[in-house]
Amino acid sequence: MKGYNGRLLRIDLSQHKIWEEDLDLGLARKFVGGRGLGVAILFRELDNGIDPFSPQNKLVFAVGPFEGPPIPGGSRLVITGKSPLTGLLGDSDLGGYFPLEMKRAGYDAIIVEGKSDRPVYLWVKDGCAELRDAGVLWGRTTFEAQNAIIGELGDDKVKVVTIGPAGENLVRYACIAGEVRYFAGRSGLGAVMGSKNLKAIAVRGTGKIDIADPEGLSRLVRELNHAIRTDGSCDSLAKYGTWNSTAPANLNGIIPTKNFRFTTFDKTSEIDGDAMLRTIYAGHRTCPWCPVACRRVVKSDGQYPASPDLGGPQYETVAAFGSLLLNSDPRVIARANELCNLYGLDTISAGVSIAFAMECYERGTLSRQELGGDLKWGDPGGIFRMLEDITYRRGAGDVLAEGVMRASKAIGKGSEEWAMHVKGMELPMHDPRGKKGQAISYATSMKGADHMESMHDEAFQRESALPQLGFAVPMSRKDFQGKPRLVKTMQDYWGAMADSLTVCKLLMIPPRPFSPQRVVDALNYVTGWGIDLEEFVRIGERIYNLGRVFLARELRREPGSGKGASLRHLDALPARFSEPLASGGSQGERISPEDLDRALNEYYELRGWNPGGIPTASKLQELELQDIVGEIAP
Amino acid sequence: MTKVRFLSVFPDLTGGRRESEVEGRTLREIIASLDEAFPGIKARMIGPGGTLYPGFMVLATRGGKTEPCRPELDMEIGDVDEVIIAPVAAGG
Ligand code: SF4
Repeated sequence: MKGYNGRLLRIDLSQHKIWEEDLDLGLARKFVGGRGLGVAILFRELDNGIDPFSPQNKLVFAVGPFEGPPIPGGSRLVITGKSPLTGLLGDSDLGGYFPLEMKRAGYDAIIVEGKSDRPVYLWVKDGCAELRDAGVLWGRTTFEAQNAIIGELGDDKVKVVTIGPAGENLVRYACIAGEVRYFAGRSGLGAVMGSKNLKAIAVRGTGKIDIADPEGLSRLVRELNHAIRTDGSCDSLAKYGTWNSTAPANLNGIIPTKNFRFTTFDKTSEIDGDAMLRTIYAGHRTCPWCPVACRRVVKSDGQYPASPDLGGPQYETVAAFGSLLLNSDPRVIARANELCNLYGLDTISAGVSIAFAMECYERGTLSRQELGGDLKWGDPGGIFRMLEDITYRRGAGDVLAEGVMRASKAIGKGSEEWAMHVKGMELPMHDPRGKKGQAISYATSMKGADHMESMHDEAFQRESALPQLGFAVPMSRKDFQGKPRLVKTMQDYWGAMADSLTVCKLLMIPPRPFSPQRVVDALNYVTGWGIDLEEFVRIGERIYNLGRVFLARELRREPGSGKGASLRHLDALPARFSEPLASGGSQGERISPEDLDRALNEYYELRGWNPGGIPTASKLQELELQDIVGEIAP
Repeated sequence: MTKVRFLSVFPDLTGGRRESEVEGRTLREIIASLDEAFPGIKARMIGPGGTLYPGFMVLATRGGKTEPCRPELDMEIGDVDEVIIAPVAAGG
């Protein structure tokens, strides 16, 4: 099949067994690759109710048809597995050069199961694979582990994804670091690697991928690159990276501040894009073939060192270690980001967990003794100490390493009220009161609060944002009106499909030039499938629905629930969002339970789900998922 | 004079300046004045077709409330506290 290697690599760590399988081409046509392939494989192979840390859990490291040809942003790896944060299906993706190298090494996906009796890493080179001892790497940071592996293999073109001590210590929001510059942060899948004693995967490949229409694709890529360079839509992203979001987020009153109590930060001008350029900016990096080069490189010396060899902070991290914690020093953000990178922590969940702990300290719920010292808002020493305590599970860090949902249950004393999560995953840095589409998306996402599932409301405030998908009329970011349809469409088109192709989502946000037509054309040039936009979105819908049925199936293990039980109670937001914002660009905005309920009714109906949020049999049939109808039948 | 605030746009042209005061009743006039102070801004904001590139948002603050302006170059901005030029930054 054009655009694919047609091969999967399987590893059973319990047996130290490695084998190859053909990629089921029918499955690829139906679920594409990346997340779609991961969800399809795990749906079939994971038993209901297993512990994410058990050897039965599997991790699927998958690329898609876009890796290989020189498509801007077409080098992303999606990792799928049962998430230790949510207990549900989780996924996370990273860019950079590993995904391309993995595809060139001969595989569309690497599927890992079991648990090794000792630390190992997987080495894959041009169709050959072996497990190697990682005893000396255990306990080492991501950077040390990566460098040791590259040194051992004697080839500096080797690309590595690795975990740090946080993954080894089963911190439930441990990330997976790609080249220690690109991170699969969300869902805690680094801890699943840790539970399997799998420290890293190293790849090297020189293979070539055949595509259906190289000339058509190279014409499209030329046109796309020209547009990226000249139409102004990527200008700010190229100059600032995602730091370009900080000042607008503050202006619009959506930048989470003091653990989501406020949405404007009076010191934003000290951490916004211009401030970062002046203080810690040291250059930029890119992903294969992308002319934007939005990845930031930072450097800081002295008290708060940060090295340009690692990945710099993105907007999410700036807000998570800035406004959220009332810190306005870019060097502290750079240092906190570096510690997360080295320890292998998701910066969003780590920032939200520390904000939770700071609020506990402020309210007297956690004491100085329990926290190993003061934990005042904005205190750099407290932030760094907590990152270490979480990573090594010391003192209160041990409970915070469980994520805020579990930590608040363990701590009690009303702390659930300020534990900011959805389905167990900590909230990203966009307060949904000021953008109601994100509210619906956070609530309904199968993996918990995630900001990369539905395109953000700001992009749809102008005319003709995405007319090809039916979004030509401006919508206010503050309104619920029209948002259930927007979220449904974007979860299918953007969340599910970009993660399955697999391609960078930033380039697809209007008015950036990777438009729906160009994305579909690129897929057709690569695979020769000849599909149209409608079918493209339908594939995304299929992937989304399969994820939802997985969730429904998982719920059956809960006492009192059976087939057909409602999922509605899971599609909820923290109670804090029902409080109106007192000031800023979203002043007066709130999300009442009634508002969310109404939006969910419309959203479920548009999706063809029943009032409990479960896909109906007819919807599954329509999506050619008839073989799993039994999973949801009453 | 109208106060114009740059919100994470054109750092290379403005030398990192965050705001400026310029003459102009319409967006077209404001952009022309900005271009005199910071050459190159006009080419970044207005495409060959003579319309605003969609990568930027222009907002206006009146009485403490900031709202997006319609992307029409010849519409009068009216009495505003400030005009803000910002990227269409939407997530990530
Ligand atoms: S826009 Fe940024 S993240 Fe996306 S491919 Fe380009 S450099 Fe990578």
